[in-house]
Amino acid sequence: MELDLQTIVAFGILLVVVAYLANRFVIKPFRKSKVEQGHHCGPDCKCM
Amino acid sequence: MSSEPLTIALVGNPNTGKSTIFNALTGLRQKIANYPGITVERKAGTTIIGGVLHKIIDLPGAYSLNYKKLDERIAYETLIGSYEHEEVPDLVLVIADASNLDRNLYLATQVMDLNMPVVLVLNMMDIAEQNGITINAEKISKALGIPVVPISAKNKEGIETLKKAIQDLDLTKPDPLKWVPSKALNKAIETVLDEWIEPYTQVPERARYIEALRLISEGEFNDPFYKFEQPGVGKKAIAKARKNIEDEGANPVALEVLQRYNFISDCTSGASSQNGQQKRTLTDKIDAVVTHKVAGPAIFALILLFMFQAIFSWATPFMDMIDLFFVEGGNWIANTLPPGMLNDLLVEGVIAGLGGVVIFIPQILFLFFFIYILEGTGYMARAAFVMDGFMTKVGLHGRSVVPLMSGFACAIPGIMAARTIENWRDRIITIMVLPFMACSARLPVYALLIAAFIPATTVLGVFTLQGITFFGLYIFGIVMAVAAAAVMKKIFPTGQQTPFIMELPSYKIPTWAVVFQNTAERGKVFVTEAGKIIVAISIVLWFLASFPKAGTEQYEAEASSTETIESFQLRHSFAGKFGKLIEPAIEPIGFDWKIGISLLTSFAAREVMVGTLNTIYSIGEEDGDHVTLKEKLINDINPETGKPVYSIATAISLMIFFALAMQCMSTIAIVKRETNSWKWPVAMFSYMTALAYICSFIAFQLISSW
Repeated sequence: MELDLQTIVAFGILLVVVAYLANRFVIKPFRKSKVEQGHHCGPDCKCM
Repeated sequence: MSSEPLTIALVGNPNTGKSTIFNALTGLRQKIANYPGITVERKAGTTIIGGVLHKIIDLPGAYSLNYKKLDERIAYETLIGSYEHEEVPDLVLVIADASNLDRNLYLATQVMDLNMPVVLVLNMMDIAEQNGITINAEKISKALGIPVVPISAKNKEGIETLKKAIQDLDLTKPDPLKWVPSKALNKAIETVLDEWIEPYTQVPERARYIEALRLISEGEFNDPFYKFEQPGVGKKAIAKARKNIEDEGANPVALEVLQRYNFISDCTSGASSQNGQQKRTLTDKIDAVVTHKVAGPAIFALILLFMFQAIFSWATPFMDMIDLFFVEGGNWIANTLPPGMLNDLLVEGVIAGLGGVVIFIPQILFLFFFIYILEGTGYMARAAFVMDGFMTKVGLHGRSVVPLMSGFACAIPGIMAARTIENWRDRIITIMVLPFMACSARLPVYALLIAAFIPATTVLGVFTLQGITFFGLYIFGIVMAVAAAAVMKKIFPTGQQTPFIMELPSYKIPTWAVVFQNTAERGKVFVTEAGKIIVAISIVLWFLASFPKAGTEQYEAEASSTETIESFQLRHSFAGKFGKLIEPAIEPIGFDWKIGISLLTSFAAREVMVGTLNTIYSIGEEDGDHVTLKEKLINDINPETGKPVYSIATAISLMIFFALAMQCMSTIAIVKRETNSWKWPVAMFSYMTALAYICSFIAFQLISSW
C-alpha cells in the first residue's frame, strides 16, 4: 500500500472517528456510572 | 408575621396555574434546574414582600401526598423536610382550581395534616365565574381555619392581596381545623403508629400521621422509596389495622378518601354554589364523540392511519430530491478529486453515510409535526383516555398510554415517562414492552425496504399499499407490545391497581410557533445525535470493508465466474469475514452476511443500518456509476445462487426482525438506569431478540415456500 497524502489523511480521519466513538460509547458512560454510584449531588451540582 | 426571610412552597394539583403564580411572585428572580439525578424540574426563586426577601419553591404538581409517583414524592418529601437537597418550608401556599374546588381541597387537607402554616389560594376565579360558580372565600377560610385568597393569576388579579396575606400571616396561630377520622379509622391509625412507624421507622414526626393513612389504604409498602429494615413487623401491623376497619364493615382502601371528601363537602357547602345548568362547551361536544367507547378507538386508529400514510406520501418528493443530491454530489466529488484512498473514503464512506441520514429528515419532521399537533390540540390526552380500558385489560395501566405513545418517537423518553406509573409491576411491564413501539429510528429502515420491495399500488382510492404496510408495521409493534404485556401480567404477581386520574385539557388550536420550533428541534437532534454516530460508524465500516486489499491475482485464482472483483474484495475484507462468520446463524431467517454486518452496527442506533448498507453497497463502485441504495438492493445478486439477495420474503423477515429485536444500546442503558439493575435490560434484550428471530424465521420460511 502506497503511503501518499490521501492515505495519510484518510487514516487521520479514521483515528479521530475511533477516538470519538470510544469516548461516546466507552469513556463517557463509564465516567457517568462512577458519578452515579459514588456521588451525591446538591441542587446546583454541575457534575452530570 | 415575622420579618425573617421565609421559605415558601407552592403546592397544587397539575394545571392549577401554579407556575403562573410562581412567575407572578418571582418575576425574573428564578432559577430552573432538574432535581439532582432525575428529570423532574425544580423551580426556585425569590420575592420581596414588605421589604423582606423570601425564597419561593414551586413543587411538582401532585393530586395527593400519597407519594407513589416520583414527582409527588418530591413534593411530599420537601414538605416534610426529608428531601436532603431542599430546605423545610416555613409556609405552604396550596394552589387550588376554584372551578374544581372539592377535588383540589383533598390535597389541601393532606397538607394541613402535616401541621404546617398553610394559605389556600383559590386560582382561576375568572373561569369559576364564567362557569356560574360563586365562592365565598371567607366562609371556606372559617371552615378550614386557614387564610383563603381568591385570585386570577392569568389576569394578574389578586397577586397583591396574596402578598398582603403572606405579610399579615401569623405563623404562631393555632393549628387549622382538621378533619376527624372515624373511630375505626382512628384505631387503625394508632395501631400502625404504635406498632410500626414510631418504634421501627425514621419517618419524620410531622409525616407519621399521613404515612399511617397511606399504609392503611395501600395495604403494603410496594414503593421503592423507603427501605424499611423489618418489613415483616410493618406488614403485620398494617394487616391488623386493615382488619380492624374491615371488622367495622368498611373498606380500608377507600375509608380515608370518603371521610376526607365528607369533611370537604361540609366545608364548601354554603360557601360554594353553582348558578343554573353548567354550559355544555365545545370541548364537551367534541369529547362526546372522541372519547366514545366505540367511536373513540376507531377515530384514534383512523388518525394514526392518516398520519402514517401522510408521512410516507408527503415526504417522498423531498426524499427523492435529497437522494438525488447525494448521488450527484458523490459523483461530482469522485470525478473532481484525484483517485486515491481519501476519494474513496469520502464518496463511499462519508457521503454514503451522510446521505443515509439526511434522506430521512423529511419523514422524521412530518412524524414529529403530527405528534406535536396532536399534543397541542389536546388530543393526546384523549388518546390515553380512550385506550385506558383496553390497557387495563391487557395488564397495563391507563398511565402506560402516554409513555407508550412517546415510544413512537423514541423509547428513551417513553421509558423515562413511565416514572409516572405508581405501581412498580405496571411500570416494569410498561418499560419491558415499550421498545416494541415503532420508534422514529426504525422509520428509515422500514421506509427503505417498503420503497424497494412493496409496490405502490393504490388501495381504496386513497391509500397505497406502501402506506398501509407502513401503518401495519406500527400496528404490529402495538399488537406485540400488548401481547407481551398480557403474558407478563401472568408472570408477575398482581399488585394493587391504582386508579387512572388524568386531566383532559380543553381543545385548542395548537401554538404553531411551538409546533414548528419543537419539530425543528427534533430534526436537529436526529441529525446531530444519530447523524454523528452514523457518519462515524460509516467511516469505520468503510475501512473494515476495504481492508485487507485482495489483489487481482487472488481474485482470478479464487473468485467464481459470476462474482465481480468488488464483491470478491468485500467478501475478503475484515467486515466480510465477520459477516461470513455469523451468516450461518442468520441464513435461516433469510439474511446474508451483508445484512448481518448491518444488524450488528445498528445496535449503536437502529438507523445506522441504512448507513451501513449504503457504505457496504458503495464499496468498489466505479466513478460516475452511483445509484440510489434502493436500486442497489433491488439489483443485488447472490454470486453463488445467481438469484436476487432481497426477495419479498427477506424484506418482510427483515422488517419483522427490526420491529421486534432490541437493537438499541441507548435503550438498554436507560432501562438499566431506570430499574437500577442489569436484570431487566438483560431480560429485555434476550426475550425481544429471541422473539424477533423466531417470528422472522416463521415469516421467511412461510413466504419462501409459498
